[in-house]
Amino acid sequence: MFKVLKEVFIAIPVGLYTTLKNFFRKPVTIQYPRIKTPMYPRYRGLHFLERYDHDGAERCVCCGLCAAACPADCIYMEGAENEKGERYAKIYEINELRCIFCGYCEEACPEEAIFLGKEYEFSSDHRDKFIYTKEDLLVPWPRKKPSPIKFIRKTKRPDVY
Amino acid sequence: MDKIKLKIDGREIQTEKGKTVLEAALENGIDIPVFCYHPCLKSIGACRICLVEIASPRGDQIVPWPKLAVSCATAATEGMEVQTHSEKVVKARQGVLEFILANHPLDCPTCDKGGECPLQDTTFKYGLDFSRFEERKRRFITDENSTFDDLQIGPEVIRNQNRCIHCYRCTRLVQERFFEQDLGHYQRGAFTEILPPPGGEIRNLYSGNVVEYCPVGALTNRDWRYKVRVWKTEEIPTICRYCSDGCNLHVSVFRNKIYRIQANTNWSIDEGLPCDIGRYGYQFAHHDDRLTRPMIRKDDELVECSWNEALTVIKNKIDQTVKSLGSSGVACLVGESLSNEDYYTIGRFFRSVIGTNSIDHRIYRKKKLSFGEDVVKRELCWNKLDIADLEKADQFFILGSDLHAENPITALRVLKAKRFSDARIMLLNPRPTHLNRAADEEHIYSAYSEVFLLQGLVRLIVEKKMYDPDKANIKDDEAKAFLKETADFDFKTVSEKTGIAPVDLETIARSLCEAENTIFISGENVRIHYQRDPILISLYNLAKLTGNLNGDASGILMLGGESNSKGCYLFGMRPDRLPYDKPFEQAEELKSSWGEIATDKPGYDTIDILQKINDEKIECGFLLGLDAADHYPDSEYINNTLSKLDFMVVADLFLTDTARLADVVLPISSHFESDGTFVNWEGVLQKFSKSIKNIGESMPLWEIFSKLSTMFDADFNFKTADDIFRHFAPMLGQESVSRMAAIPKDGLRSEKKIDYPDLGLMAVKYRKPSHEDLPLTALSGNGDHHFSRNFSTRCESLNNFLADPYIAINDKLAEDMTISEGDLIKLENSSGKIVAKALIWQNLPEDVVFVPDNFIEVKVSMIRSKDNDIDKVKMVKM
Ligand code: SF4
Ligand code: SF4
Ligand code: SF4
Ligand code: SF4
Ligand code: FES
Repeated sequence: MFKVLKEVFIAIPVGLYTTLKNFFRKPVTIQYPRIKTPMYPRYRGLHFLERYDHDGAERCVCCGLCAAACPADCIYMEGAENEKGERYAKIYEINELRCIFCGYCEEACPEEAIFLGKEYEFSSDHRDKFIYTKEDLLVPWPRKKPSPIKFIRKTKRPDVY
Repeated sequence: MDKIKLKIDGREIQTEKGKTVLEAALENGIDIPVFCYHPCLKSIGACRICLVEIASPRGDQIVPWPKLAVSCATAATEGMEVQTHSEKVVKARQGVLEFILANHPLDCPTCDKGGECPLQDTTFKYGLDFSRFEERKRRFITDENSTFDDLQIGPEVIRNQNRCIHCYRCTRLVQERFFEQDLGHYQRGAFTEILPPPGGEIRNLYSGNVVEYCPVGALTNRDWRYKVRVWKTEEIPTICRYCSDGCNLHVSVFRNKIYRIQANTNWSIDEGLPCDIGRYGYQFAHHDDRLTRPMIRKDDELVECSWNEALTVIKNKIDQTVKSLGSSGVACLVGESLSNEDYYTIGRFFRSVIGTNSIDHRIYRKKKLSFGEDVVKRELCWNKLDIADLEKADQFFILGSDLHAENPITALRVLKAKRFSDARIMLLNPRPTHLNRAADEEHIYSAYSEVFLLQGLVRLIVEKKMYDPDKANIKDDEAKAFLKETADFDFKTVSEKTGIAPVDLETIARSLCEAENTIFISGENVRIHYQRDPILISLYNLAKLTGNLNGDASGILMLGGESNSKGCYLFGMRPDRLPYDKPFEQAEELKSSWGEIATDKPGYDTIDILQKINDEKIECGFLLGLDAADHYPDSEYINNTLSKLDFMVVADLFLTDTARLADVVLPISSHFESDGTFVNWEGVLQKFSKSIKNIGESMPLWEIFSKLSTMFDADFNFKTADDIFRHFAPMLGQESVSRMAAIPKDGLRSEKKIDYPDLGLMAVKYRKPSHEDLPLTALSGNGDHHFSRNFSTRCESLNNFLADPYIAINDKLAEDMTISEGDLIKLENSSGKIVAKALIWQNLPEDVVFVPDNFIEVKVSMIRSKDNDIDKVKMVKM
């Protein structure tokens, strides 16, 4: 009997106090997608493939180092020779479902070609749509906005290394 | 060999006198980086990366050398003390690397060598991670518009001079080992360029090796170019399927596709320098022409069907034939490049399940397939030497063989003997062959006069008593008898018949008698010759006279054939022999595992099989991995004969001309798609491994016949190639090898027998050949970079060297008939005709035309007839 009374008059009000306290606090959730949280500068989202600024040529030479560095083994590529005799990626695919967004690919890339961007809104209703091809990944040319990247190397083949 | 002792890195090491410090170190697992050194080449000490610190004894002191020395060009001497990784050495290597890298573009990301590059690896190990070099790097611009400086310098070789570190491995390989002139260095110093001579290309038969052995990516491959990264591929050992040398190769596979082939050095065979045919000859495996499903003839058309359907049809037909004609109504012909496992299963199926012994592989000859008694007695059917023995010889007598195109690696050993021990090469052929680039003497004899030539030489030597009676072991009366018997082979007649001047004959004879060790090599021209046996016996006579019957660097080699010709012999693909070359009398052992075998009488050989088909005694024929319609030297006859077959099963990779005639076509897998073994001409059994999945629904022949056997209630139960190998392993007579996995890396070498029995001189008879009365003799062989039919022409890279058939004619003849190069000409006789573009060869005899017999469009068998010993033709300009 005593036990029941204790529950009704002490335990319930204590619990309700917590509820009430939080009810009047400022909410931690936000109204996504209307409102978005600020992004950390080093956030790693969807990849993109860069181009040279002066002529729009693809930076990627299909060296395969990103794929070698990738712990999730989600990058596939096939190289070929373009009409100028240069090496380029005929096929370049990233399986974004397997990707763990570690950024190793970006770190491995010797040509400053692949970067992880800020994009995270790429959900889809089909698994196949997560295989991003080279066309999906390449930044559009002409550029819509200047590249966020500060490149070390500005041209493909400088005379001085 | 004298042994010497030295100390490397504090370790006591014993080595042979004459070796370099580097070799002594490498032998003992001490690693010294190298760029310019290559075990196949003489050292030149060009790159300086192999520097070591040396101290050597002077009096009773060990005195350090004033400077570091290059280990690749310093001979190891007694008592030396060598430091390979001291602080001083490492610092020096770093310095050398910094100098090399000063001009090296460091474009590894775009370089095909990346991942397997000695420069990359060595830099990783020794190099500093920054460069003090800030000046402009040397750059050889080949195309202003391109950021890449690549230049195609041959059908399959691409050069990027920026990356070159001037080790000269490429040019040394080409000049020192291949005796070719199509790659050299031009200009001086840092601006030295590696180039073919002006206007030329690097297109020698071994050109792929310069790519493989370039220590950087200065020379790369057109075929492999940019496709895959090397670390993505898996390397699987295989054996070449083309010639009978049996080079060891590595297949690079990525995602079930072969991307390239590289050497897999076997020092006793290929020395890591395979020819381009083996290197690029894998491309047929992924060719669109590959058959993927069985086909069956319905309403006179081949339509695809299931395996079950095809095998059921075969089974029913066999049953029917056996009922009506007995088991001798079934016969089987096989190709020469199937695996031993295939042969064993095929043999077992036909001999024990069906009960027929009519199995053969010899499709290349018109008549007389088996060796005569005299040849067998002299043990000339087996080669007793190894490829490595060729190095020790000091003279080669090469007769009727385009060794360069038939056995490229054997040719390379011959050249090695010439380069390193100054051996003499004597070429005697009815047409010029490419080995003449290194020959000391080349004699072109009139086609089909071999018997005159050889017997003439023998007689000349006997007559003029040039031989050394001790070595030759000949008594005077024997010599006299021989002279009497060969009276028609006098000096003048021989010279007349062969077209070789008397003085030349005498020089040949003299040099044969003078040399210590001569190896006599005969090739394809002898293998298909209508007087093959007399030629071999005459070679034997010559070898005997000149004292070359015994010794480990002298003897007679009969070469030619395809990758597993020898396996055909060993594994019973002849009507009168059981596996491992056992005669029927020794069948008991086999019967215990095979069950009943019909051993009362041998089956029919190829010639008889074809005859019996015409007589309607054979109704059911199997042609396995063999394009008989193209290979048999009489196109009309074979086509007529095969179409008379009531039921014909063809198993092949492609829809060949033979397959088009078939009632059932079975797709077989290539040797890349199964495990198996080949035997090369030396008799070395080597294994290859499955590297890709079967293409389509194809199956290797052993699997097809195991399946078929279950339908006949004779379950072989062979699930893998290894199962079969385990079955025949006891026959190989080497206890330690009971499974395929136990085959040593260098192959399973059987015990060598070197001496030939001395049976004295034997005079042979010349038989006048039958032929049509036409002016030109048609000779055939392999075209540049091609081998046999159907396979090499389905390889794009090989077609880059030679894509079109041609007919080679003499320049005088061309002039007389106003033919210029590239004109279409027709060769014609009563058997048929062939048409191709003319190619003018200056030193081809006037009465000879040469046609490469590799191309699908031009079949030399069209102008051959089995009734003539020699095929003569007339030429018409189109
Ligand atoms: S971010 Fe990491 S997991 Fe994703 S592709 Fe790059 S390396 Fe692979
Ligand atoms: S590492 Fe960079 S250049 Fe190399 S393949 Fe990846 S994206 Fe292309
Ligand atoms: S091309 Fe290669 S093999 Fe030839 S010299 Fe240059 S680095 Fe050496
Ligand atoms: S064709 Fe002969 S020489 Fe050439 S790679 Fe093959 S086995 Fe070697
Ligand atoms: S390897 Fe010795 S100098 Fe090049």
